[in-house]
Amino acid sequence: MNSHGFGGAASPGADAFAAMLAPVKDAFLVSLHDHIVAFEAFPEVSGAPQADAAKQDLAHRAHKIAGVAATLNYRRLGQLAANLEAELSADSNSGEVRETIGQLTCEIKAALQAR
Amino acid sequence: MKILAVDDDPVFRQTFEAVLRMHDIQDLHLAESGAEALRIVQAQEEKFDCIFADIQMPGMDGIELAGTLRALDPSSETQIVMVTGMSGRSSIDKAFMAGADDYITKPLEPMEFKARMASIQRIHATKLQAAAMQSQLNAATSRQHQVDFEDPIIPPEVEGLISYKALRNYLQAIGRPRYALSQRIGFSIENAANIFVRTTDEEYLDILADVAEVIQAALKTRNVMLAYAGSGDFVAVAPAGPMAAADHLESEINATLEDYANTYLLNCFPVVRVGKPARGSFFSRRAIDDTLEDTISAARARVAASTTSMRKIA
Repeated sequence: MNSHGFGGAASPGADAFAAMLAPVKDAFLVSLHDHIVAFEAFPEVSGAPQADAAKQDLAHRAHKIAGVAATLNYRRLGQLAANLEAELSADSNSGEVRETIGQLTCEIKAALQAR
Repeated sequence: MKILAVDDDPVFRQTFEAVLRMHDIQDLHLAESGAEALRIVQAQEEKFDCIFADIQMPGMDGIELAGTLRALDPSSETQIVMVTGMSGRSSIDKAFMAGADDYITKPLEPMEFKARMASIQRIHATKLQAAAMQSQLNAATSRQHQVDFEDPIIPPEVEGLISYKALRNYLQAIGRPRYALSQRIGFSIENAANIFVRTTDEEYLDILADVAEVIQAALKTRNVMLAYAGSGDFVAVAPAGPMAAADHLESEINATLEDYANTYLLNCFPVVRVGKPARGSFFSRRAIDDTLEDTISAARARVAASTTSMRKIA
C-alpha cells in the first residue's frame, strides 16, 4: 500500500506509485493554468447574457478538478472545486459563487507555486 | 483481468491508469469518449472483463454507453462500473437501469476503490471458475456420438455376437416348440448411461465388446446366441440345460471385469447385473418380442434392486 492508500497486495509501494503519479500531477497542474483563467473571468460575465454558458463551463471545470485533486493529494483544492460545482448546479446566488471561486483560485495558485 | 476505462478528462484517465496498475491490472485500455469505447469494444476478439465509464461525458455519456453495450450483447458477462462525482450520484439509478453493475465515486478513495476492486476481481474469479467447470462438463457430455444410447449396435469383433434384430428374427424362425425349449437371460450394464456420456462412440463400443466377451465366457456354452439390445442391455438365448444361477453369473462377470478395471477411463468401469433366466413355455401365446422384453426387464430389475441396496447402505 502506498502513501496515497492505493495498491493491492503486490503493489510496488509508495515510491513507485508516486513515480507513476508524477507526470499525472504535472498534467493536472498544467490544466489548472487554464482553469484559473476561466474562474477569474467569471465575475465579469456573471451578469452578462452569456452567464449561463459560463456557469456551465465553470461547473464542468470544477467537476474535472474535483474528480482528481484528492487522489493527487490536493484534498482542499478538490473539496473547494466540489463545493463550486454544487453551487453552480444549484444555481446559488452569485455572491456565494464568487466567494467559493475566490477560495478556489487561491488554492490553485498555492498549488502552482508549490510546484 | 482485461479492463476498459472511459473518461473524457485526460488527467483522470492518467490517474485511473496509475491506480489500476497499482492494483496489478496489466491488460488496460483507455477511451476518451463513449463512441471511442464502443469502437474499442467491438474491435476486441476477447471481451473485456470490466468497463469503467464516467457518467458525465459529452456526447454519449456513461449511462448511454452502458445501455448500448448491454443492447449489443445482452448475454455478455462484462461488468460495467460507473464512475461518478458527487454531482452524478442522482444518475446512479438510471445507470443501473441501463445495465451498470456497480459504481465508484470520484475522487477515487483508496478504501472504497480497494473494496470495489476486490469485489470485481472476486466476481471475475468466480466467472473463470464457472467457465472452467462448464468447459469440463461440455467435454464430458458432448463428445461426438454418431449412435444413440438406445441403438442396438453391434460391438465390433466379438465372435458370436449377433444383432438384436437377427436374434428376434432367428427366434421367430425356429418356431415356438424350439423356442419353448430355450432359455433366455438378460444382462444389463448398470452404469451404461454414465459410461455413454463420458466416452466416444469408439470407446463405448469397446466397452460393450468387453462386456459381451466376458458374458460369453461366463455362460460356458457354445450354443449361446448373444445380442446387444441397446441401452446397455444384452440378451442371451441358450438351449435348455444346466446354467449357473443369475447371481453366480453376475459375480463371475463382474469379477472378470474388475481384473481390467485399470484399463478403463475414470468412472467408465462397467458393472453388469444379471436377470433371472427365463424358460419358454409350449402353452404361452405371448409374442416373442414381449418375452424378450421381459428378459431385459428382469435384468433391469436387478439393476434397480442393486441401486436401491447401495442407497440404503449409504
